[in-house]
Amino acid sequence: MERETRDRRHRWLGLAALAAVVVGTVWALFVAPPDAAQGEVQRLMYVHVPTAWIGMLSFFVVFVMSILYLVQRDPRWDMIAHSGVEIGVVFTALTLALGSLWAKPTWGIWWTWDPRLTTTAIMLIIYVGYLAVRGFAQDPEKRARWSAVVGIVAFVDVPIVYLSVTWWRTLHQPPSTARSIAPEMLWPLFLNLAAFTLVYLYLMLRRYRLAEAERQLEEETAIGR
Amino acid sequence: MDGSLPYLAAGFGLTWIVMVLYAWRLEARIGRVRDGLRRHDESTSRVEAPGGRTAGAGPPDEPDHRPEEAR
Amino acid sequence: MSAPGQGSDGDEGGVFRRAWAILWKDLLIEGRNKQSFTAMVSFAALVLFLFTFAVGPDPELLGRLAGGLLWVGIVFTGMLSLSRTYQSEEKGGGLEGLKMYPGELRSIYLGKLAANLVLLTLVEALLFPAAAVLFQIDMWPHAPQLAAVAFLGTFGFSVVGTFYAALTVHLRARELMLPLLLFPALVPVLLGAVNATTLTLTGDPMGNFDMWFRLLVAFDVIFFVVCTWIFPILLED
Repeated sequence: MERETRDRRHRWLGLAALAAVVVGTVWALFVAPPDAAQGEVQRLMYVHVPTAWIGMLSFFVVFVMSILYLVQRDPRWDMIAHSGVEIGVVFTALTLALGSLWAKPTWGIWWTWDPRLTTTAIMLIIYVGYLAVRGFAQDPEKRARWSAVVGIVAFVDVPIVYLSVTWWRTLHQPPSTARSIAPEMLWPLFLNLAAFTLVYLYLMLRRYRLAEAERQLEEETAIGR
Repeated sequence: MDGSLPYLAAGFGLTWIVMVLYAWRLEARIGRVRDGLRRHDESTSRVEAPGGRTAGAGPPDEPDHRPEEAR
Repeated sequence: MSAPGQGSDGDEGGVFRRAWAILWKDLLIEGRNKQSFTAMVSFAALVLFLFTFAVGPDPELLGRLAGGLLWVGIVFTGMLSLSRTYQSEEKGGGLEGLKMYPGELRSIYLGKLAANLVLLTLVEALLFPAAAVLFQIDMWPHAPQLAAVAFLGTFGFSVVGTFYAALTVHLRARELMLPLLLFPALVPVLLGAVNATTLTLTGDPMGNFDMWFRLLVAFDVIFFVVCTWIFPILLED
């Protein structure tokens, strides 16, 4: 059966992603040098930056899929968008938790009103709203249409939120300047970015399978009624 | 180590747990929906059996003439 | 994207005439039933009181917080009027009736947007003087600048609000869904309006007012274009 061969292929991708993340974690924790200024805590960057990247990549995919859905009205685009939001929300929440864990030993506080952190929190709430719209709409076609609209408006909004929050903060304190990263730190970061992208790919494929099965069930029960 | 070990452990541990747990829950959800599909297929194939009679609506009048259930 | 909407015969004037008709109809309904407007103004004043109770009566502190308190009051009051925007149409299938008319669906959006804008502006016309008295701020010298900020902030709120109200009106739990979608989207408007208002009232030594003013203008223009463009998709069936 076609479905089983695809499931098997996904399993191989999942194993590859797992192996990549294992190598990435080992490298980040034991091979990469500690940061001169921040010490060992700085190693959290190797998971914090990739989870943030996956969150943004995910929501960008949602934006593109939402536009595609509204143009072509193909339910498959909607299913990819839905999968993307769910995974994006998981990784964005993870990013916030990691940022908090990083802030505590560095600044002594769990939360700072840093523009990036604040924008990430707002972004998380916006996309939780997307999922709530889906939960509260029954008709599949309307659900797809409305959530695509939310997916577009949300993506247009996030950069403006970031800009406004940055201005709001810079009135109170100078922005932190980005330092250049040493190459011994850059390579493990790249490796982790690649590993997490593999994880993202695997999760997207599996989440899409779920959306596909759910849609099939929804259609069949609708006919049966 | 400079006292940051608990934060490192928590950070990396959380990342791993969330990813593994999510992937695992995903498989469970896929399995559940596919089970639902299979059960639905079975029940509809019974409902749509010829004779215009719904499954479980009472004993058929002439059980001998009832055609085989479509699978 | 292919042009959404239907029956746009290039009749640009028609869109605005229809929008005007909807605005006029909604204002007539509001004018006939004045209790709801009175209730909105009272609610807005109540928000000011509640926040004053929360932060204490220190006039110096209140003077600094006035911009924020005012805008929180406006946004909460605006929520009330938004959730009623399309509900009044729901009884008796009014929205379906509006959709049946020939012409652009966008005129419904523009009409409802204008109605919300007018209503909220009227509330603000009472709320700002009330705040000036309650918080002991001299607003008169800054009136033109405040009016400009109030207009831009209210316009941004109404643009996104009228749009999302049309989306949530058919959802279950719409009372919860409208603020959940709207408030995070409005963060730039809120920051822009609060900071521009505060800088106007308490002085602007760094010359930051222009920055917030431009942010408001940019937000209004971007979302007016985006929301007007995709609004017809919300009303398809």
